[in-house]
Amino acid sequence: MPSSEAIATPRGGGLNRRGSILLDAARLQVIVIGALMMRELHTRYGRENLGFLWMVMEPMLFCLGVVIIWSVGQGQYTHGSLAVTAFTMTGYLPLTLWRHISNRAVHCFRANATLMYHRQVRMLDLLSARVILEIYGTAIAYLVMGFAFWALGFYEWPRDWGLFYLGWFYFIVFSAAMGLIVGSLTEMYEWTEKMVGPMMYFMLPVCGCFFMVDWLPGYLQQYALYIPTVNAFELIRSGQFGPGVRAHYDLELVSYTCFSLLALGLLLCRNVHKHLVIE
Amino acid sequence: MIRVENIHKVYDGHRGPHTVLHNTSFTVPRGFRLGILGRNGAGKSTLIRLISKIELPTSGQVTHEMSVSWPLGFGGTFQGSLTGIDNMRFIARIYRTDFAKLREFVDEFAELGSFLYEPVKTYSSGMRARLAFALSIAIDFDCYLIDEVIMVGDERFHERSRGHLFAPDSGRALVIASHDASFIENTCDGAVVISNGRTRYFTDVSQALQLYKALQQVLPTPINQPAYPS
Repeated sequence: MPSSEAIATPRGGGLNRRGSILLDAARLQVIVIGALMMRELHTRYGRENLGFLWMVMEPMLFCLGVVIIWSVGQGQYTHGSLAVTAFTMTGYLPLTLWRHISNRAVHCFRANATLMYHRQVRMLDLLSARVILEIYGTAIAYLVMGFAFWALGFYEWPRDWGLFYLGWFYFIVFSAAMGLIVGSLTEMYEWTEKMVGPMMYFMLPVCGCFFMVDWLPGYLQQYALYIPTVNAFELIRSGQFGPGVRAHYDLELVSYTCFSLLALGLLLCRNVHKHLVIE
Repeated sequence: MIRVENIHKVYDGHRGPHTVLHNTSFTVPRGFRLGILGRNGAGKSTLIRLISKIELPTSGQVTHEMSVSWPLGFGGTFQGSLTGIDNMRFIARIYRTDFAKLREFVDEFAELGSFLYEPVKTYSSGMRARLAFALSIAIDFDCYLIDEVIMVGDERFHERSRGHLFAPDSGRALVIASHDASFIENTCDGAVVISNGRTRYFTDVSQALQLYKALQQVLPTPINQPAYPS
């Protein structure tokens, strides 16, 4: 089943050109996601104001606050030689990405049910647009903060960009999966909405944002890797600090957990349309 | 052609499942005008939404073999906090139409003037329907799904939409849900009557109207019990 059908194009548009239906559907989906991103920006931040800048400022302000608090408490370095700026940025920025995606996913289909009047817009497009926007926001926030701290001499760029990106990649897959699962479940079962807050809160201390696996007692280390975000944080920090940290991660396990969650999310999202009552 | 095959729609009500439509099948060929008749709450709007595929049937299938508009009615279509222009831009993007042309047409047709720069939530329901109508006519679908909005707008707007959609030579297929028996009689080539979840398809509109009028006389029967054998 193509995820976007080209049926509702104007007369003579798209459909029935043999061989190009899939390509055409893909092109339409790209257009729809782009249009949804513009719409999301306009609805969320308005036309006036700083607009898109808030997308970047939100995670930045959050992260900046934490850097300042930690620096006051611990000085410029934590756990020996790890720069507080780098440790916080590799912790809080992924965390805000995940939090924003999950929190915004709650009832997001219901809130946007009028979009479903246009059948080329699918549930998945809606979430994809949001995930892409959050990625943009977080990436720019990272770059701006990184550049500023680097210029001031508080931050060094990642030692190994490959590992750094790989960690982010898993984190994004995990966040997108959570968005799909939260968005779909809250639409299907009312009580799940109440679970999102506590779940996010309980995940905080164990997600890997605040620790390296190496600092844990030995018997806990093997279990920690079952949490996908722990692996992702280890990868990001391993890329950031290079030989400065001893990273523990299990690529097979993290791939398995992240993509299972993503598959579950996609399945739920595929079903959610049936549960949706459009005004 | 639109094919509606054995669709069945059940909603999860607070007092258990509620069947809105039972085993409904019909087709809408190109250029055909189908009326949907039924009392308030009979399921006309639900049927329109199912035909448009914005809601999915519990079982059964709807297939489109021509381009079909979104349901034109009082709800949906727009994001209230965005301006008319922004909504228009969004619709131009996802329907892959040229925004400038779309705008020109809508400006001329819907006559909303500077209201286009205001958020849609500040519009009256008539203005909203006019905007939705104008947009859908500009996009030029093969088939229009119209939910009770025929009487929307003033005389002037009325005339123009009549010209574009309801004129016999417009070549467009229509599916119209309405209470207005005489309108259906004058416009449609066939009709579906819905009552208590049962649907009946008539190629002869006057027969459909007879049944519809007879149903008006009958007291409402309890939900989920057929009013007449199907």
